[in-house]
Amino acid sequence: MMMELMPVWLQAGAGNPLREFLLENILTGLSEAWRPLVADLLTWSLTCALIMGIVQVTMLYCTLLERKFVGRIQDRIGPNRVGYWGLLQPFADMVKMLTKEDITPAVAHRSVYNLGAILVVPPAIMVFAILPLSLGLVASDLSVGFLYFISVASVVIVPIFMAGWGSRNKFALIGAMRAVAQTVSYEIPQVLSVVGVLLLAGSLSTGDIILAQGTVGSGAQASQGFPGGWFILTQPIAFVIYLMATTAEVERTPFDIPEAESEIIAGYHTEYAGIKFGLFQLSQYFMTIASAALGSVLFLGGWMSPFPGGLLQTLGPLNLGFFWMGAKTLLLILGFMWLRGTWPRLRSDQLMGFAWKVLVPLSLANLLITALLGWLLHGWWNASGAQGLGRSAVVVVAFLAANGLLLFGAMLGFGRLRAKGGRPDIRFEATGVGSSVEGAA
Amino acid sequence: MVDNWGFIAVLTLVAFTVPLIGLALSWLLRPHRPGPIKQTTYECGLETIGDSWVQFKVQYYLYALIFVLFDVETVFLYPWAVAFLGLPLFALVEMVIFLGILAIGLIYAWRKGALEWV
Amino acid sequence: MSQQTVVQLVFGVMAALSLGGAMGVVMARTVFVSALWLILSFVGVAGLYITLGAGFLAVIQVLVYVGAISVLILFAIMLTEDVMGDEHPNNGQVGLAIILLTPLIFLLGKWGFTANWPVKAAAILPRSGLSVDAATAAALPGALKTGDAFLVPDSVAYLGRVLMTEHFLAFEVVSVVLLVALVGAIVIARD
Repeated sequence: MMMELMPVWLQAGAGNPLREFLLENILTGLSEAWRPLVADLLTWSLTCALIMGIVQVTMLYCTLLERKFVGRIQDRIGPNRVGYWGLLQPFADMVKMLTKEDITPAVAHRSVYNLGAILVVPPAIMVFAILPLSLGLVASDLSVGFLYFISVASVVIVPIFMAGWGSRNKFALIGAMRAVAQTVSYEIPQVLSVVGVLLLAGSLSTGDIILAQGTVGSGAQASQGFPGGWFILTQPIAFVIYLMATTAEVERTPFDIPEAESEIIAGYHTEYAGIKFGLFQLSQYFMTIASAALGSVLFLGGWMSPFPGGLLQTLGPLNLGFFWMGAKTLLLILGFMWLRGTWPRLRSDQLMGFAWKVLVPLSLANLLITALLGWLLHGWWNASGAQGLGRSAVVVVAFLAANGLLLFGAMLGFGRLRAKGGRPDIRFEATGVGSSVEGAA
Repeated sequence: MVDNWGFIAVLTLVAFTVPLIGLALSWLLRPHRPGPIKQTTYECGLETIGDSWVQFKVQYYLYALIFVLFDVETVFLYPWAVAFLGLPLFALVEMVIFLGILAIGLIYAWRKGALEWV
Repeated sequence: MSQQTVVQLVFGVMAALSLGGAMGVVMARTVFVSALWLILSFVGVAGLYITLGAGFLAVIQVLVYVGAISVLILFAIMLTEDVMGDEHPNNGQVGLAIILLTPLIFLLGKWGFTANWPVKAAAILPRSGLSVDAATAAALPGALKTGDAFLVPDSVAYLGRVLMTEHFLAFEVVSVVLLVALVGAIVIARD
């Protein structure tokens, strides 16, 4: 039933109604050789425009939401002067950035400096290609979707490095080095935590991952999906690791060491003014939104309704997938903002130690447990022919118990390590800028 | 397959125009009055001492090395994970050995202090 | 303008990117800028993989080379004291290089355009790339039967299956190689 309601307007290639409409009604004058190509290019461009529109508006209002939300947390009101309830504030910010004078340091390596600001934006936009808006509303459901996201997102470190080096400013360079070291360190636990989800879903495609979560709770059309429902139920530890690693990846508080304003001014974008500074902010907000959307795809069932039996998944002829997807993404974004409003910044050595000594071993152990349990349960339900809610309950309970045991074991293990003095040395480094002075080896 | 990547090609072009449009708009709107004081390197109000392109410590390089190795490891994890639930138990044993050997590497790096950020 | 032509056009652009990047590496006067050109070259190679229908390889290329190896190179430049910002003048061997390389490029080009390349049907794969029906599978070399469905060679699941069954020894050896690399790196970097 649901498949009939499936809107495929965003899908690339044949089967897209917009493309078929263009082929049959608008592009009739063109020669046979050109028609499919022009139709493809037109549909793709329109899809791009739609994605850009949604993402831009979300980004603009995320800035306002963040200022309001963090303001409330800190017992302030937040912006409320430009427009009713500050609703025009993002546009005022935009105009301000556009009209600010552009100052380039005289000693900067001009081409690298300028290219850094330009190149930081495209990867943050390109990751949206694989994020579904709703059932069938995904621009490009690549078979390697998740991997595409991770690899394109990892490209951002190159322009960041270009910015830091091209500015020829010590703070900028230190910020860039910190940013890159931090991003690469947290990429490993981020990816390792998600491998468990990929294993249970049996696919890297975002569409398949969401459908695999659909056997319980909502939708209920994926018969061969994983019977544990949303992956947050069966992979809670992985979800928390993913959130932490993502916060570090997008360099938000408490992992904003690359931009620690009390230590190194603004990190790698210290020397950027006006719109070029704006481009860095743009990229960061885009990445935050995209990571939150990916988190809701991987762990929160994407566009699926949270109610049992697919209640409120459709409203009349309308599929509410986009609403649920948006709501879940917003929830995760608010989580990031909450963290920002609550936590103090970490220190470089604590941060690096945490990634390699806590998150990596924990996510490796989680992966092994997931594989073993997944294999056992898969064998069990194939052998016994168990189905329906009973099977789901067994799967979820088994995974929750395993996660609980893992957490208990991890706390015991790390506690013993701490007692033996295995934790990072927390001497205060009195030389220069914080604990990561780069000058002397 | 081709369709999906074709869309990504178009999206890439669009993604590059976004910062360029911003820069062009700003170029039309903003003032341009450079001066020698304005264009000095920002450093807390003091003159910069020495070159800014300083030498960094080796710790960064060690982290990058460990990162590259684990990154390559995860590359092998994806195909395994996606195929796993249809494979015999042998696949799990293989992966346990694979991860075990790499875990030895992590423990070695830990013991040798390569993970300490000093 | 068939799909084939467009793919060939994109192939040309990507080839130009990787070759131009490689040229930039040797022509740039600063080591850091050379490294940036190298990254552009990596991106071009990833684009080539996409036009050849190897999406998984392309994203791995970006993930490992652009996302990881480039960091290694940039950090190596950052911890080398003398070369970081220095402008190194070209050393006057350009003429010699041109004389030596022109025949080589000519030969390679002649061979590349005249050789009989085996073209597989797998170049254009079905949309999601995961499973196809029996008729399509018959046309694809190496399609694998699992239950009622067929896996096409490009799919990641197929790769995992082959890695875990036929090539399991190579797979385990990889982990040993990675371990040796890690230990070697730590030993060298600390001494």
